[in-house]
Amino acid sequence: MRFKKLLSIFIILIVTVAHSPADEFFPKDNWKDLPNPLASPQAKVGGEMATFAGQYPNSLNYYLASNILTSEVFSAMYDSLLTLHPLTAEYEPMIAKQWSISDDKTTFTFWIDERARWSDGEPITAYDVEWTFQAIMDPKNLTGVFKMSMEKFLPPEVVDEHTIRFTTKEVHWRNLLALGGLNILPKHIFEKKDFNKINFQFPVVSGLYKLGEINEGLFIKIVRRDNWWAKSEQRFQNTGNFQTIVFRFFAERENAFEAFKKGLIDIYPVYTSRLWVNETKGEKFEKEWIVKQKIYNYEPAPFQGFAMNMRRPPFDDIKVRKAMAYLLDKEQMNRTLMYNQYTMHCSYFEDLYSKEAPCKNKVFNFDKEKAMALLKEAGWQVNPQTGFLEKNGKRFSFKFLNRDSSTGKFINIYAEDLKDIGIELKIDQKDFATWMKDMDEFNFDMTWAAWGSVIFKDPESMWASTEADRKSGNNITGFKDKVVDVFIEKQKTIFDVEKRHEICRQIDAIVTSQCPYILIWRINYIRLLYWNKFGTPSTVLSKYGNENSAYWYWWYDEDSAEDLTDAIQKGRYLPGCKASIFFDEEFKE
Amino acid sequence: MEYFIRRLLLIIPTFIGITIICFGLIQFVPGGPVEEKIMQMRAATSGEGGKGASATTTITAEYRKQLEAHFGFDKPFYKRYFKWLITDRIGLKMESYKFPNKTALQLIRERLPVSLIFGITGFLLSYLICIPLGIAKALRHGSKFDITSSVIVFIGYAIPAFAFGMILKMLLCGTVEGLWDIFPVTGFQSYNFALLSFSEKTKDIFMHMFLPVLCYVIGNFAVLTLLMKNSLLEQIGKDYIRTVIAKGGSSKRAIWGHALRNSLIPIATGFGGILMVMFAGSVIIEQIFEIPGMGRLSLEAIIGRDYAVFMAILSLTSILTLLGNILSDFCYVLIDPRITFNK
Repeated sequence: MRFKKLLSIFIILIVTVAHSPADEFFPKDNWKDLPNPLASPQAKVGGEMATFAGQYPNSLNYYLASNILTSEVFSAMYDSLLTLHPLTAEYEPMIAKQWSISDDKTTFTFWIDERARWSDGEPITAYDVEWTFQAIMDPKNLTGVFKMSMEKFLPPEVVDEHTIRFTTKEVHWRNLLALGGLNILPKHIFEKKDFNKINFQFPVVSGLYKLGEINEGLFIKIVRRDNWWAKSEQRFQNTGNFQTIVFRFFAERENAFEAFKKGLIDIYPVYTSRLWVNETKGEKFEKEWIVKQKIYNYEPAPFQGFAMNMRRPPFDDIKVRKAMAYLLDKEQMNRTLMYNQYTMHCSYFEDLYSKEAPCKNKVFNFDKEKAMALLKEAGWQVNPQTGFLEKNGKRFSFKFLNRDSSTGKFINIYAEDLKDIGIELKIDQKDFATWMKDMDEFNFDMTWAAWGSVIFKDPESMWASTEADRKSGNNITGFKDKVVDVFIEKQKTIFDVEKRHEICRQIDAIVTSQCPYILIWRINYIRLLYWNKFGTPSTVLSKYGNENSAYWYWWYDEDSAEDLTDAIQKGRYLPGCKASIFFDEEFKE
Repeated sequence: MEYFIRRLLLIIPTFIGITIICFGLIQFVPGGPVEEKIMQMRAATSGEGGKGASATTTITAEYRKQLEAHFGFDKPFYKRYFKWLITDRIGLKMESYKFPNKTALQLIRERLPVSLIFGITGFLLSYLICIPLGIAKALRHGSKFDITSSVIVFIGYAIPAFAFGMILKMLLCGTVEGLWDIFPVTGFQSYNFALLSFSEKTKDIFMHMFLPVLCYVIGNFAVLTLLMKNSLLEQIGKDYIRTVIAKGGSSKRAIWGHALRNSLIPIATGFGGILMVMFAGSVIIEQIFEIPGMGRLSLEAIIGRDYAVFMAILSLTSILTLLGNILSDFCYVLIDPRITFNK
């Protein structure tokens, strides 16, 4: 009787499994733990790298303060469920040794690596993952940004100590990205603490680095751990080589540059052309004690431009917006103010194009006649008595909401060109917080906005109509387009990156034709200065990374450091380094 | 005495008046800690080579409300003010909005050493140099020494502190190749400060603070020196000095015994400022030399909308200013017993 019952259960199970949609398991069978192709086999562990960080952060808890420095330090201390391959950007195991996605793409199961350990020797379990999720979702915790990406999931189900299952309410390619990128925190250390007060004390970690000395306002040090649980994995060999990484804080970038030149900082990324062209001269640079390099890699391209508020006149009229774009002489600004260092934008997704598949979007080069014609079509006429551009007796005048005084020189040139044809541009200078408030209330005509980019493009927050009326959103121009909305919905359920990119290119063409921003310029390489005492891979930086990838791929080269000291003492030259590094030329698989 | 007790008691309503007005004003300033927090999350940027804000970061209305509640902005004004005044001990026990692990008092305490160095050195240098210099100039009025010293102190007065700081850095900090590299370029102490011996620590702080303190005091020299000189000259020209000399007193006695004491009365107005040494500092100088002093803390609190710290600093400076004014009056009475505040 008992046997029959068991048999019937077994048969039912087999039938159920046979008819249920199959889960897809990862990593695939052919996946192997291979060495990181970008890491140099010559790398050695040890030494220190001192780098520049801006203002002292108010927290190192990335879930509470999501800024760049916090992100670097937090992800060095806490491993995530999955990691990305440095070349293909495909998911690879980290804390989770295996994961599966259900056929309907709504259920994600993760199997935690039994070898994964906290720094106090305790195993990392599914309960830690569950607690991290709960901490993010707890209404009293100020984890707002992460709540948004996690709220699409139901509370996870702990199957066993090493297995956890997440179910989502909505199919979206972003779901796995959100879960895989989750930095897991130790439940046994933090569960009784007020999460909002976990800011600078992280006694137990899981990552390669732990928090070292903190001298508030001056520096934060992270120290390499010898007992990192994943240290024997092939893919992590020759990465994370520095024994200590020091983040030194400077309120002013100019002061940091002076400290860099005195050797207090080892690496300094340059963000302004004046500094790159004019301030990098002298013995230290000529004799190659300081290396000056341009790095051309595949870092996701940001975009910047003058955002126009399409919610109200005069920029609700596409002809006016296009005219405004024609009136910006950005090439001249580039020549006269920025030493011809920049290339002009033609897209909102610049890195989706290449020489082989160039961007075909319309470029708005400076052309006053075209601008005047468009303004005339839009009903704006010059009043011969006043010389002002007017429509229905109202003068064309608008405010440029600005928050960075260093940009005034560019806006003033623009204002002069506008004045020539009778348009008045008034600069409304605000500080960051006030600017933010005005932006949230859509109380602006035009502003300067720069947006970062990521490998996996998600156009929703920037271009969806539903985002246009939401406060603190990224669709600051109020852009609405039904075709774009259809594309955005469509790409949500596409898991093939290249297919999504094709949709992004289509969205890009539509958005560019609508001209919500006057796109300005970009730099298509990373400007890097560093003291010549480090070993670097041939590509110098990673494929998709910025200057911060140096922390992971470089190493302290004792011979080079001694050579540098000797060169400084004797005033001699060091062997020259390449001035430009092209990723594709340096990296051959 | 009665007058001073009355003045001391008046501090209470004056203080409450000041803080109510300031507390009220900051409620109407556009942007606040909530916007600041959101801004940090989005890391919004602009500028020539702008790296860009996070395009994937979005903030919901619910989260904004949660932040408002967290910072207490969901409560009415009077409740917040009462909590600030009584429960949080004029905000000193209040947690900083910007540095959530620290109270305003802790942050102020951390910045005190820098301010004390600025304040005490500045105060002592000003009075120890300017009073003798002013006297010497008055006694040698019109001489080469008087003219040369005037030129020097006026140059110090005319050059803005930030420009003076930049020039000093270029000349003496090794930022320009071929010039001297004597002093550290930035900071209050070296990175290895904790490992140094006591004498090395003293030297380290001296080397770090020499240029900033010089910038800080240089502008004050002209005012105090000329005030002293003119005040003494004025007293020397008065009838009572002529009377002393006419009665057979030496000019030395007339000047050092009579004129000097009276000439110190205008200088005494600044004595009350000694209480402010705790909050001494200069935003610009601290910014140029990257010194974590009270000036930068105040600026950061204002820019970062850290009202907890801003109000705590404001309260303490208000109290010290009010007490300093009373101290100045007290100094008047000490120097010149003829002065009385009682009717």
